[in-house]
Amino acid sequence: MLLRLMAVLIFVGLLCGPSGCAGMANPYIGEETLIVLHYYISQDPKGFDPVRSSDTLSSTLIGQIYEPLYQYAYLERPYKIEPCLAESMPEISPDKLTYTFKIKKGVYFQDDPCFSQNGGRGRELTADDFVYSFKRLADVKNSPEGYWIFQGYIVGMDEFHEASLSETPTDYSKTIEGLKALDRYTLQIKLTKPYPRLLWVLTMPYTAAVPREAVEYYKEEFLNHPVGTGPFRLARWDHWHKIVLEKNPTYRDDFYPTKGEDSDLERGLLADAGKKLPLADRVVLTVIKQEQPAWLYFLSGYLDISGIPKDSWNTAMSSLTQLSPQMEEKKVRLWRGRDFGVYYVAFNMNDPLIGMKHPDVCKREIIEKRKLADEAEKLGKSEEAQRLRFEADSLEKELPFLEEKNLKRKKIRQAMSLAYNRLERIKIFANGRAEPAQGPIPPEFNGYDPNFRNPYSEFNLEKARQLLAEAGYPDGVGSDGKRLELNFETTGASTTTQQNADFFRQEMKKLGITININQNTWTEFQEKLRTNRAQIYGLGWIADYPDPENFLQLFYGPNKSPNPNNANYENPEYDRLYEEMAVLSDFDPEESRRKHEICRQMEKIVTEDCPWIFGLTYWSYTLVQSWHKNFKPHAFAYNTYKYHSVDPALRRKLSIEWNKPTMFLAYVILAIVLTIAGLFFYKLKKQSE
Amino acid sequence: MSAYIIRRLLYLVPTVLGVCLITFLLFNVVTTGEAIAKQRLGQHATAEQIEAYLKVHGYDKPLLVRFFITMKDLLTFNFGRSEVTHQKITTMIFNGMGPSLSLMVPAFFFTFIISITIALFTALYRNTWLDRSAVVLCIIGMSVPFLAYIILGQYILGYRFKYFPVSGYEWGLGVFKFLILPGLIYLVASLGADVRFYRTVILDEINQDYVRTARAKGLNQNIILFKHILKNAMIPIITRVVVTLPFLFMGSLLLEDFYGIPGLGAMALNAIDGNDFAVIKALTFIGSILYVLANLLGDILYALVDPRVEFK
Repeated sequence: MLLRLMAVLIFVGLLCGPSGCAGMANPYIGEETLIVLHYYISQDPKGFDPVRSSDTLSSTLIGQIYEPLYQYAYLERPYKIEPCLAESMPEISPDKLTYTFKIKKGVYFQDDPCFSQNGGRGRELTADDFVYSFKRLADVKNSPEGYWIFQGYIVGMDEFHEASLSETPTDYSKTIEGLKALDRYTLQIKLTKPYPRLLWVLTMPYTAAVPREAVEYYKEEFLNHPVGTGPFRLARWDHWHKIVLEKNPTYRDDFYPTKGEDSDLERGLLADAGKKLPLADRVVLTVIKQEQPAWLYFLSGYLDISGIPKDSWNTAMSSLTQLSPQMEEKKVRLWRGRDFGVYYVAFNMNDPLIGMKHPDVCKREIIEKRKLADEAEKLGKSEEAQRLRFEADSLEKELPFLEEKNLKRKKIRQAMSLAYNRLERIKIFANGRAEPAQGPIPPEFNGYDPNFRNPYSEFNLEKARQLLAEAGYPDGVGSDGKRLELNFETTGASTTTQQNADFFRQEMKKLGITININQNTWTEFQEKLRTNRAQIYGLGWIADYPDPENFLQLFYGPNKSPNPNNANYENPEYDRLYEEMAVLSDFDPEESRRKHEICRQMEKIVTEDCPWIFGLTYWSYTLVQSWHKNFKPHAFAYNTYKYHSVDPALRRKLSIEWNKPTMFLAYVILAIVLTIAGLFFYKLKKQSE
Repeated sequence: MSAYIIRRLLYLVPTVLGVCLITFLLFNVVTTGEAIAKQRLGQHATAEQIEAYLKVHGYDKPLLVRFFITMKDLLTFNFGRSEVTHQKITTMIFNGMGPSLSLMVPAFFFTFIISITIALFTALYRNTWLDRSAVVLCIIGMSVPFLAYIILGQYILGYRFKYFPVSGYEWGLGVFKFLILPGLIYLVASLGADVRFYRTVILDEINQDYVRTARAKGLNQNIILFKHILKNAMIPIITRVVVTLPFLFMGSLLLEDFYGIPGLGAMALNAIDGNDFAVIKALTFIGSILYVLANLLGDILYALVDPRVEFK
């Protein structure tokens, strides 16, 4: 009986399986008539708290719900800022220290239970919301990731930041002198020194307006319950699975831009000009961690936008700029744009073998150490004073030989930079989607010179060997007969990281230098950076805003580790130029020109000193389905979903066309399984008889 | 029997404490709070911010104090909140268990039934061409890496032939179509090893004297197979099943990761990636409890199926 029942069940199951397969591959339940954008994200965002939006994913999602004072003009290039929640561009005092912002009237936060006094209806945005939100960014208890944008710039803000370390809870009623709401719709910021990047940073999600009611109502869960003024609101968030954003019904009057680049009209990007935003009713973001399923979904038409995974390059592209016939047939569109980032291999400049100590820095250190020793002496700490004096004396002894040593070590770094075959690396790891970086400033930034060629960015083994010999290591062997041996720290355990490290080792082997690869987790690596134990390592830096200062600060002496200057590079001349450049604005033509000149000098200094092997800058490739409208890549803007739209009818039609199941294989498998099962039951029956 | 169960439950205590101690040491000694802080705070982190982070998250307390706080929280099932998402960990685990169970229970059940059936069949026809070809197929099946099944399954059955969604999950009845493909992959990937194991176990029994006696008595083959052989082969079968039980709750890391199933397996991977110490701690604790409980269940089942095992 049991056997017969099982046989019937298996038979019915197998018969129903393939016949029920039609439309089975469609991951969406139910038919869609609304305008729904289907995107994917490769991981769950860490939350919707603007002060913790240091990663691109969090910024992108927060950017759809919360809004800052300013935003980037979506279509215009070069990158331009326009008001978002601000009514207009700010009034700036002649000394450039006071900024006055007018805020749009009649902007409401989305409806939410946190506004219990209004019966759950969202209240109007005021200047006080910005004062509160900026204070939140300075409050260490919120683990803010973006306080660096205001640190040292707004009068009284650092004191508030310091106080929040010890106060429990942080006193938000305390006034910050440089941050005031003059009236309901006027915000004033007073600066300690000119800060030409202020408007750039006021577009970042860190500075978005957050209602105090929501923070106090949701407490620790605030980051899971965003309440913003933006075009979308969070409708559903199943962690590590799906995020659904819905059109915010109380969104202010905001319209699709009417101005763009010349080519935008041709590309159909101005077809929706003047329409009320957001254009889409809903955005569905599915978490797909692995590249393959995401790519297959894009090919099946279930995702609107995709990048090109490294292993699927040949399926998508015929050449660096030409789509494959398969993509052409599907009428997929390609957008190729720059990733404003630089990927590099850094040398620790504190390292005695390959580092650099500028004589002026050395002299300064000697004086400082002697001063500290005197102070220690006065306090009765004679041992410490003795140690400091000993260190100062050693530095003094080293001083006459410093120039010579620095020169030799610089030659080692330059030789390694010359031996690093960037083009080969681009071919192997990026399918050609990158180009060698000539210096820290990426193309299109103020200060970039397209004609500048870093003399150490080319691949020239002969010159590299010659420089290494001049540095005292002919064929990589020193005067003591020992081979030059250096340590490369990995930043994680992923295959790509490992492959990159191996590539570096192979390249340096050609010079006769032995590279030992030290495996680290990301946290171990960070710890090594902090404690000055990393000799050589590979990293990248992505631009936060389109200002060269964002890259040049990575070599500024006072920014040494644990701050972002992880190579611990220090050159007084560079630092002087940096200080001069950092106060110049890109918005003022005269200052912008002067800034360009200084940036050129700085880039020359830093490429000659070679604290980094300037590696690559990448091109980003985005594929867009034919039914998707208004996509234009933007390197810095996050709030772009409001401009996107789709043609749902076309998507439905094509997705049915592309996803007809092939039943042949199913029937073959069915026949095989049925035969085996039949044989089994027949034998069993015969046996039992 | 109850005394036996209580005694076994008491054995559970040192095991669980040991697991907690090791996990705690891994996260507080091998990697430090400072390193975690630096990762959280991103590329602009300053020394003061790191210090503040350590203070806020209690990393500034002495190691021993932190250890006792950890132990107290675990033993009272107070897992706290995720360090990354700030959600309550109990809610996260509760939400993740459903998807894991909905994938693993049917997959495991069908794999078990089918592999036992095939094993019986091959054992019955041992040394014939049927048995030999089944064994060869099993070995081939075992030699293919799990990841290859996943990737090929997605590509061929999902994308090329369009039978199943390539990945995804949905709550409610709609979940069915998302679970077939990963379930099938689980079945195919496990079949080789399972059939070989059960076949060996059954073959050990099939040559026993009592089987020959039963045959000599002229008993029906089905009764010999299901009533006598299977019953006597239960001890190793239970051992194998019991070892698998915790994974039904904890999910399959690779399957959930590739098929986008938001279960506990995927959650564990994500927590490890994001250094979410609180979540890893909770999952390790629950995993070890489940493991010990499953072993306890195994011990009880041994005694139930085999009267020679006594509740000592």
